[in-house]
Amino acid sequence: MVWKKYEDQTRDEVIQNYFTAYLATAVGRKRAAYIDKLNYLRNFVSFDFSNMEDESFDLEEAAFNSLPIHLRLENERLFLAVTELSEREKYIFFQRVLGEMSLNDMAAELGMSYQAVVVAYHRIIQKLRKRMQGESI
Amino acid sequence: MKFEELLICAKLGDDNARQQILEMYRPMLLKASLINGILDEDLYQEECLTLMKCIEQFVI
Repeated sequence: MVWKKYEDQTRDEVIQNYFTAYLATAVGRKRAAYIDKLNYLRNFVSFDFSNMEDESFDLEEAAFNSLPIHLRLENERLFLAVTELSEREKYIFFQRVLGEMSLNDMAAELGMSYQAVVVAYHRIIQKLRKRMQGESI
Repeated sequence: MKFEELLICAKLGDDNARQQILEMYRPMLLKASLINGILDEDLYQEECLTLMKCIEQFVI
């Protein structure tokens, strides 16, 4: 620790300040991890039980439809390739391919520049191609 | 008691010192445990455990 910088504080205050900063970082990280976990669970358990009594209701199909979109893919190789992407990459990929959102809107939503989204999108496609070993998407 | 002594005692496993540090930092932990303005008790407990871990790991 650099003591000279803090000549107007006593050693005790310096230690307490360092400890507070240390703790604040740890607490912030814990909180972020906890919120991520909550969101992840919420994505999985978004299940609609309201029309359960209907005879035509197919439990299997409903369960399948309530899964996050990347777990619903039927092509096994694409599925494996997509599971390896990060959350943001998955979002960009599905919004572009299935949601048909324009890159401009996406850039505004993610707080990135247009060019950054274009680059990110092409990297994702390249990654997927590589992982699927040249099979066309 | 000085904070440094308190921290050393807590590191050595003095429950009383830990209690005092926890009370000192409780407002901060409570503030970090709010999710959308509602206190999440599970998160608060996690944060208290984080504090205990920090006390052990902090290098004086």
